[in-house]
Amino acid sequence: MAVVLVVSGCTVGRYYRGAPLRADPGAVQEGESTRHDVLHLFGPPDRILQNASGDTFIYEYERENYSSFRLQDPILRFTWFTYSRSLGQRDRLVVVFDLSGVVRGVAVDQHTEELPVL
Amino acid sequence: MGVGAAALVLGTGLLSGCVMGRVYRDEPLDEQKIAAIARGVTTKQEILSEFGPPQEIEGRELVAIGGPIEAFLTRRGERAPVERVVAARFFRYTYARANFQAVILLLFNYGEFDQKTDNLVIFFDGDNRVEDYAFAKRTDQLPRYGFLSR
Repeated sequence: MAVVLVVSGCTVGRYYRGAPLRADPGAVQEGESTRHDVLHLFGPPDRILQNASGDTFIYEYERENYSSFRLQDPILRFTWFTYSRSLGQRDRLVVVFDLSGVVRGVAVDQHTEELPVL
Repeated sequence: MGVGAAALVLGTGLLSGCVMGRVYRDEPLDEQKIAAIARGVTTKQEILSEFGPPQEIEGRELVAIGGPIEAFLTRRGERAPVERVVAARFFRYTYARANFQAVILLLFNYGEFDQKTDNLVIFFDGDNRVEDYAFAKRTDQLPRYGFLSR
């Protein structure tokens, strides 16, 4: 009976920022691919860092799944219990160029598909 | 009370409300103008007159200005940076949109926020002509009604 008198509520939220990588990072070859190739494959980077030894392009896609569970007194609106969880993951591609615009390093992380539903 | 009426009462009791929101930042980018950009031909001034002021400008051209900075070097063997032109100078033009929607029920709430940006980056060479550029139109990937149209 006590359980019935307590209102429980769930909240599920989804947050998306940016877009998934539009090409396979494996297509970028160190020492061969150029800045033009990378721009053609992946489009404009989300961030460009300039170093003394050349540019660094950063591509990012970010997702976050939020869920919470709450038990509340329906009359007094007193919250007895709240549990919330937020999980964020991102896909990141970092491409390092030398001063002549040739790729000298590639790093990729793709974790958004690993996000649990709740 | 019929089943339909009962479902209506139950439905209205559970459905407290919906929330929808739209965010628009800056102006859409004209794709016809973008198609007219020619590498090695279009100048920085033409880009400015066609597209207006960019949202981001990277204009740093020097690693360090020449000067007597040895006195400020603290580590033995450290050499003064050499003056030189580095990397790219670029303009970035963006148009961002975000769609937000939430369903608020008595016992369950669900919300989504999705942001996408159209992005144009233009690199210039030392003669202030377009060296390279890239454009990505992503706002058309925004689901209009969240999970219902995803």
